[in-house]
Amino acid sequence: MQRRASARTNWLFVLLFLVALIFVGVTRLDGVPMATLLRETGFEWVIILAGVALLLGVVNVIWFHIRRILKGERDWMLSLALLAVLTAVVGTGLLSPAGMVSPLLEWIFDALIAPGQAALYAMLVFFMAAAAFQYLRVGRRGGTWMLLGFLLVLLVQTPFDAAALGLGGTMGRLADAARWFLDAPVMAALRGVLLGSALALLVTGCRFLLGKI
Amino acid sequence: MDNLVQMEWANAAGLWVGFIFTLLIFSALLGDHLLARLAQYVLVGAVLGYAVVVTWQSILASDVVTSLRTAPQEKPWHWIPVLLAVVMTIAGLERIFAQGRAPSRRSATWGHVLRALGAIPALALVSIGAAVTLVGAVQGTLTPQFLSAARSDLTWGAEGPGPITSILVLVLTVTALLFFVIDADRHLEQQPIWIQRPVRVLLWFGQRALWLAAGALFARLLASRLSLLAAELAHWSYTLQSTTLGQMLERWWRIVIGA
Amino acid sequence: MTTTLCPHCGAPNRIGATFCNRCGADLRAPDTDADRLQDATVSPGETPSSISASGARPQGVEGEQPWLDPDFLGADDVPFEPEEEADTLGGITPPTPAPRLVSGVQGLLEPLRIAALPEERTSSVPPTSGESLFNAPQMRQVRQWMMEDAFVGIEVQPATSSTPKLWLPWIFLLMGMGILLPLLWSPPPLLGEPIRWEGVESAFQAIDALPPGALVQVLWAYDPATAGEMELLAAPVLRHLQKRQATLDVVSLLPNGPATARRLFASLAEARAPELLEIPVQSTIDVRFLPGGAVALPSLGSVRSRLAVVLAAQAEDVQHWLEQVAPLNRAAVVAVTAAGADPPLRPYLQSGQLVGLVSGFDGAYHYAQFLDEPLTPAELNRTRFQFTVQQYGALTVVLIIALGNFALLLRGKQEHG
Repeated sequence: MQRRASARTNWLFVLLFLVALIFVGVTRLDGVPMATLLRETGFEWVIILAGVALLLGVVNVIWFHIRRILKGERDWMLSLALLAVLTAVVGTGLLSPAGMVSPLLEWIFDALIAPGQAALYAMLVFFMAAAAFQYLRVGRRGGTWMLLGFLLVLLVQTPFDAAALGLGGTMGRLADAARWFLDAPVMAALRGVLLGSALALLVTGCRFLLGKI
Repeated sequence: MDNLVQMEWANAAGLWVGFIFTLLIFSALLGDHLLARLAQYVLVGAVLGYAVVVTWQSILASDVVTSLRTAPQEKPWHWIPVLLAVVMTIAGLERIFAQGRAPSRRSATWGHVLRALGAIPALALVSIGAAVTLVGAVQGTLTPQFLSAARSDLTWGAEGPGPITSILVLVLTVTALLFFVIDADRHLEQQPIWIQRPVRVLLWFGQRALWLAAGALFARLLASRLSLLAAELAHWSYTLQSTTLGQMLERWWRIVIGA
Repeated sequence: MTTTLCPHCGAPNRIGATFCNRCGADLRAPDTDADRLQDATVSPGETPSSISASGARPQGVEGEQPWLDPDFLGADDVPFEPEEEADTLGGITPPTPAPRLVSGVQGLLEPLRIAALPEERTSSVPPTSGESLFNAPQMRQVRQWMMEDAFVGIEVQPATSSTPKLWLPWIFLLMGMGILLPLLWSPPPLLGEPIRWEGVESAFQAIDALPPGALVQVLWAYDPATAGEMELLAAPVLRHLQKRQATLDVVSLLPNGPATARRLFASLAEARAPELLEIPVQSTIDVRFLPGGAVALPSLGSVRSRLAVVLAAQAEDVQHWLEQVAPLNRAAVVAVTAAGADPPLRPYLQSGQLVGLVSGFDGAYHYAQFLDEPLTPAELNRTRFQFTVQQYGALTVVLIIALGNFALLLRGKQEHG
């Protein structure tokens, strides 16, 4: 029975995927009168469903933390703090007549969300330094090549006063080399990666469809 | 409550709350401890709560919902997404709350029915996402990038470094693509030597090109992260300098360094 | 000190110990005589795994160690069932509670329950009728192996010493000092102009060519996490758009995006230079949030804009715009991104899908130079901070890499010499 149910789900997905492909393809056609209307209406519906899915995701997180608190698992007090803050923010936003732009919600954004997120990302440079220590090594596989690419771009992007250091001409030539490096070999390699990943996506989609039909 | 927050002292309180919160987040560099984890949990709670408010209000403000609220009968097809959303919500909630519980016979039957119904909008959403991604990748990346690589700006008889660069770009694009899609050990194992050798050479070039590109990418990422840290330091130094405590600390520091 | 051997795993324990140090077996129970295993048979209705290694049910099952009972179900324990509840399957009986894959591992923890095993032979008889595959000492050996750490038959070299150890606190300290000390001690400025990468000038020209009142779509794809860098970039670009009197249609795919945008627009309005006050700008800029990520983008394809400006901290957001919206409305696209997003977008700039690319603190600096506007004291302060941190941060990272390679070199010499 489980196999029948999941087989049915697979076929439903394949069918919906085919319909979605046709829908997306039609909405991208020029000169088809219905294309614009289909696109505007269809994606409006998708946005609503996606919003609801996001809210369900938050409910899942809430339930996870509630279970943690009820079972008294490790860090349950932190889960309690998370839920308390979440409830306070949601209550503030939904009960205030001004909604998203209410002063209290803006205060929460300015005092907690903005500084917290900024601090979290500002810490990343320390971990990047650790990664550089670990991976940019001459003896390591590919390390020399990565180090070469890294040093060339780093040297040029750092705002040294080359004239004061007596490196005016050299830095100018190095800057030209770095510009060429980024616009030619690096660009070419990354284009290869883009093509490869797009092809892989196409092949996976075809394989999925042809495997099921 | 909104009036309270608009007062001057609320701005000062917000500033210090933000500063202390920032210090708690940064303290994670010293190791995993309770205060750093508390700050992270509080941040997650605030971000999730804010996301709920913004999402809910954007759904309510959408054209579909607005038209249904003003004139429910005018565009009846707008009830379809609302119905699908309701079904998905009920099925999703059932699934969430059923986690970790042994279901009874009756609730299992209902759960089965709800899951079957809820699967329709969920699968529709996933299907549209997959289709959009696939069509977009082909139309927006694969085709234009392939054409651009194929054109390669090569003109016979042209002088200067231009043609050399164009050839190099073409070669590196092809070799990087080959390296990306070919697993030398698996795909070349059964091939004759006159295929294996040239392909391995191409893969060698592709791999080196990717390593160089990774190094360049790492350098630009480092600049990006340094910018974030610099902005954070600049913001707090500028903000705290305007406070009494900040001015005191600055005076003390100048005495220490003899400035 | 005299020792006694555990009847289950054979490990030596001191005399008088209550539980085995290795497997936790109750040593107070009378020896169950491992030799009885040779004569043990599987009685009908009993699964093979319900027989303990000693060939009989462990002692004290009902009293002191109920978890040893193969049919034991804990307080909130439920038999594992497949995802689709089996009792809705029209009369087919649900699978029996999962027999323990590991039994006889005694201790304070509940035995591991992995999954329902398919078709247990409930009335199976060992292959050699009445005889087990192993004798008692062999069974003890097998159990001992199962409890020991895995090892391979060859001698394993100790963890390679050619890799210098990574000690995070030192690296963090070095990085912190390398950045903070120059800021606190204000060394003599050796700051120069950063490099101007390709794409900045063309981005400026694309915006400068806009007629007054032109509709410009703006995708706001960053939030406070990356606002530190992105505002350096977004500020001059948005000021330029305001100078050109563009009408902005701003959309964000991030929940925190609209609030971030509102703050920047408010600060731009506050800081507007007096000579710009005569230029009419859009009175209200309503920033919409679209849930759903890239899936929501095709809905913007119907907007007939002259130009699209994507303010993104990651390359993926620009790619999504180029894949989902640009093919529909065919508006030119300018990408304003973090430095790290620059290299993956170069192919799009080269192919013409992007008309301009402004990235990183260096791109922001040069774009502001093109605008030819005097910097406010706050902006000057920010720029000085940026340049100093970039300079000394880069030097510190180079030092850290050099230390890593130097340490590797030293270790290599020590090993060989």
